[in-house]
Amino acid sequence: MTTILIIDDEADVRAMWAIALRAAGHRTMEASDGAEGLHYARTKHPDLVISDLLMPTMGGVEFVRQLRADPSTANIPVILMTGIFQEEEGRRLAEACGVHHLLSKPCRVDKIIDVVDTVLSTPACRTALAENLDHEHLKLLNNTLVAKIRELEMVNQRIEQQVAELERTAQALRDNDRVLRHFTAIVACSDDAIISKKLDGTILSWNPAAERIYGYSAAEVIGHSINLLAPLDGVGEFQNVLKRLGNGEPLNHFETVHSRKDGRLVHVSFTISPIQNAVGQLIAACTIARDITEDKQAEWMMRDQARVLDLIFEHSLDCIVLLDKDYNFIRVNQAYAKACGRAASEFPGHNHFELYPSPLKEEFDEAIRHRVAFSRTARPFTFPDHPEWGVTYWDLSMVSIRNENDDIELLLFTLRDVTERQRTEDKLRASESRFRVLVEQATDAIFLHGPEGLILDANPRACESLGYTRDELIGMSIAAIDPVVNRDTLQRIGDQLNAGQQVALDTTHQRKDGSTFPVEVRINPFHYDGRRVALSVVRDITERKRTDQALVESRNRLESLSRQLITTQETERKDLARELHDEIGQSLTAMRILCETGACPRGPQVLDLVTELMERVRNLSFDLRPPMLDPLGLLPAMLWNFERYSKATGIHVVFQHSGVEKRFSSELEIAVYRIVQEALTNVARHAGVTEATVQLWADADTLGIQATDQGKGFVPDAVMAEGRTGGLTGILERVELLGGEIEIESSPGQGTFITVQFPLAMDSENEEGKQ
Amino acid sequence: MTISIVLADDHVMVRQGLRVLIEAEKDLSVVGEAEDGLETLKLVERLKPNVLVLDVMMPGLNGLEALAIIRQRIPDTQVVILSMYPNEAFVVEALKQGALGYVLKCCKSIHLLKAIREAASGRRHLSPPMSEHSIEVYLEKAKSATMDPHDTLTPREREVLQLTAEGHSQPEIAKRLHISPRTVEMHRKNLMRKLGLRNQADLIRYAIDRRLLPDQK
Repeated sequence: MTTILIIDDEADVRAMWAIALRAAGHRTMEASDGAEGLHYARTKHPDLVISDLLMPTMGGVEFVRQLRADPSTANIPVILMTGIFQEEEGRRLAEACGVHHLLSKPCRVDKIIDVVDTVLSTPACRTALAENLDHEHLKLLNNTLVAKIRELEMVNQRIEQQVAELERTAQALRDNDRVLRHFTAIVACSDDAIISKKLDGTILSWNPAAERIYGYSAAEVIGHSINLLAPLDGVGEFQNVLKRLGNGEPLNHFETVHSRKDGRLVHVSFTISPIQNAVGQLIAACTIARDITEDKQAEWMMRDQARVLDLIFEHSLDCIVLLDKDYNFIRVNQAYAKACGRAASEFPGHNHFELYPSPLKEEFDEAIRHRVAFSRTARPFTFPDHPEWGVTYWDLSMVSIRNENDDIELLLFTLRDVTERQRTEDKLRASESRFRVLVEQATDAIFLHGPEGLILDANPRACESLGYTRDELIGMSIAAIDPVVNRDTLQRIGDQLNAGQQVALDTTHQRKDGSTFPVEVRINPFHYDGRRVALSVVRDITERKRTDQALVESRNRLESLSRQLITTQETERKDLARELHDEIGQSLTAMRILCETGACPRGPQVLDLVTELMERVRNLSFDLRPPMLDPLGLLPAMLWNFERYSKATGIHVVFQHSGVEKRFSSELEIAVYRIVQEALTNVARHAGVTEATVQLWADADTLGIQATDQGKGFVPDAVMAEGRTGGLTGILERVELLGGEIEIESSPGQGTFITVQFPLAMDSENEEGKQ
Repeated sequence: MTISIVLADDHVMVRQGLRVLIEAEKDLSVVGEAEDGLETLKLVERLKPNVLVLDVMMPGLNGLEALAIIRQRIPDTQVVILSMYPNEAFVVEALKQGALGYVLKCCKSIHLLKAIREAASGRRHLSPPMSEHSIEVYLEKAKSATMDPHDTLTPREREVLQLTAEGHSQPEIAKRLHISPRTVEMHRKNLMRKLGLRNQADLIRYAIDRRLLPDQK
C-alpha cells in the first residue's frame, strides 16, 4: 500500500484525485499549498507527491526545491501538474527539479493512475536538484514574460491604429461641420426658400426665406406635408413632382403658384434637387423656390406700358382730361366726353374755360402758381343740367405736370361722379334727423344701454320722467332706476338679450326724488359700432293701471248689480205672487164662500165667474213663483212646472232624476228651476219637437241639470258671437253667479244638449245653516 | 155629537165665510179662530178641537209646519188642509204630516163639510180634482227613478269616453272628432264629473264594467 500526498489549492481537484487514487488502491493525504505539503512530507513520509505548480504562499517549484533540500524527503518522487506551461518548457522545468513527470491539467484519471504506477514502479533513485533549476525556472518565467510582452505590444498597436482612425474621423467630422455651417449660413441668408422634404412630402427643413415667402414659421411646417403650400386646386402637385424626381426627370426652374399662410397666392420659380444617401439611393428632395410675384407684375407692366396706360385712360370710370398750360384740351377720355355730351374728338382745339366758363379757373390758376395739386371733395362740384342724368355731383382734382425745365407740360384734370354717394349722404342725413326727431319727441322714455345694464344714452322723455339730467343718467345702471328688479331677473334678461331675443316686462321705475311709477319695458338687442347694446323703450303705465283697476272694479260692480238684479227680481216675484195669492186670492175665496152660502143675493150667478177669477189669479201667482218651491222644494216644483208646460205647449217632458228629493239653498233651487224653465221655453220656441228630456241629478258635491231635445239645434259659437243668445242669457247669468259650469252641445239638425253643473260644497253649508 | 172646529186662516174674510158656512150645519161648531201659525198652535193646544181647518199658506209658521207640530203634540185633533193649490205635492206632504183632509178653496163647499166630518171620524177626504189615484200617479212620477248617470252623457261625451277608454290621446281624439283638443278636454272633464270618475284609471275601470271596450263587445 502506498501513500500519496496531493497538493492543490483547489479542494475539488484534490478530492477528485483522492477518489481516483483510492479507487486504484492507494492511500491519500491532502494539502492546500506547498508549505502544508512540505509539513506532511516531513512528518508522514508519503511514497509519492502529486503537486500543482502554481499555488498561493508556496508554489510547486519552491515546494520541490525545499523537498529536495531536506535529506529526509529528498528521495520522495514528485509528479507536477500544471495548466499553464507549454509542454516543452514544463518538461524542462520538471527535469530541473528532478521531477520526471509533468501532467497538464486537465488530464484524464486513467492517465494519472498510469503515471503514478510508472513512478512507483521506477526504482527509487536519488534525484539531485539540477544546478540549472533556477536558471531553467527563470528562463521559463522570462519566456513567459516575453510572450506576454509581445502580446501586449500587439494589443497596443491595434489601439494605436484605432486612435488614429478616430482622429481621422473627428477631423472629417470637423471639416464636415465647417462645410455644414457654411451651407447653413448660405441657406439661412438665401433670398430663395430652401426646403427639404422626404419623399412622402413631409417637410424636413425650412429656411427664413421660406418663412418670408410663405408666411409659415419653421416650427409650424416641419413635420407637415408640403401640400400645405399647394393652392386648393393644386393639391397633388408636389406628389407629382416627387414622382417625376424619382423617375430621374430634371426639375429645373419651373414656375407655379403657391398658397401663403394668409391665403394669398405667390408666384414662384423653383428647382428640385434629389438628396441621395451614400449608396446613391434617393432619400429626400430639396426645393429651392424664388418669389417671382413682383417679377411677374413687372414683366406684365413692361410688356406694353403705353397700351396699358391708354386702356386705363380710355376705360376709366373717372373723367380724365389732359390740358395744356392754357387750359386748351389736348385729350379727353370717353367718360368725360359722355359727361359733357360730346364726342371725345370734338374737344382738342378748344379751351376748357371758354367752353365751360367757371370760377374754377381762378382756383386752378392759384393752385398752379403755388405748385400744389388742386382737389375738391368735401364740397363736390355740382353739374346742374345734364340732359340724361339731371343734377350730378363730382369730386374734382387738377395737377400740373412739369418737364425737366420746370415748365408746365400738361395739366391733368380729373372728375369723379359722386352723385350716388352724395344722394346716400343726403338720404342718410334726412333719415338720421328724422330718427333723431322721433327719439327726441317720443312720448316713451328711450334708453340705450349695454347688456350689463349701464346706460349709454337716454332721450329727453326719459330724463323728464325720472327727474334726472341726461348727463346724470349716462353711466348709471338700469338697476338704479328699477328698485324692484332682482339679480335673477337681470340675469335672465341678459341671457335673452344675448340670445338676440326681445324682452318685455312690467316693472317699476324710481324717480330721482324717490317716488315710483309702474312701467312697461320692451328691450331690443342690437349691434351698434360693433358693440352689443340694447334699446329699452319704457312706457309709463300709471294711467293704464288705473284704467285696468277701474275696469276690474266696474266689472265687479256689474256682477254684483247683476246678482242684485236677479235677487231683486225673485223677491219682487215672490212678493207679487204672495200678494196675488194672499190678498186677491183670499178675497175671492171669501167671496166665493159667501156666494155659496147665499149671503150674496146673486150668488149663484157670480159663483162661476169668481171660480174662474180664482183660477186665473192662482195661475198668475204660480207663474211668478211656484208656491211649492219654498215649502216643498225643487222636485214638486219641477213636476208641477212640467205638467203646466206640457199642457201649454203640447211638448212631453221626459223627466229623470236622482238624489234631488233633498233641499238645496233657496238661491240654488230657484236658479235650477229658472234654468230648466228657460231651457224648456227655448225648446218650445226653436226646437220644433214634441218631446224634451230633463235630467236632474245630485250627489255629495255636484248638482247637475241637463235639458235635451232632438230638434233643430244651432251653432253655439255663432249664436254666442252674434249675441243672439235669447233665453240663454238668463241661464248663463245664473250659472255664473252661482259658480256653475255650463256646456252647450248643439249643431244644426243634431238637437241640443244644455248641461249645467253646480258645485255643492258651499251649498250644503248654507243648507245646514238654514236648518 | 157636535164636532168642535178651529179655523186657521190669515184672512179674516175667509174665516168669516167659513164660519158662516160651517155654523149652518147643526153638527159642526166653530170654537175658535186663529190668523197665523203660532196662534193656531196655542189655540189648538188650549181648545183641543175635534178638527182643525188649516190654511196651507200662513204668515209666521206656515200651514204645513204648524200641521206637523200639532199632529205631534195634540194627536186627537184631526186636520183638514185648505189650499188654493190643486197640487199633489202639497197633498202628499199634508197627508205625510198627518192631515186627513185636503180641500181646495175653489171647490164646492160640500167638500169642506164632508172633509170635516170624515176627519172627525178618522177618515180621509180629498176634494176633486185630487183623488187617491192622482196621488198615486204623482208619487210614481216623483219616485226617484234610480237614474243611470250614463244616460246623462251627450253623444259627444259618449264618443270621447269611448275613444279615451280605447287609449287614444287627446290630440288624436280631437283630430278624429274634428274638434279642438280644448273641447275634448272639456267633454272629458264633464263626463267624468257626471259619472263621478276621478281619474283616468277610474275611467278605464268604468269602461270595462260597462263593457265599452271593443274586445268586450
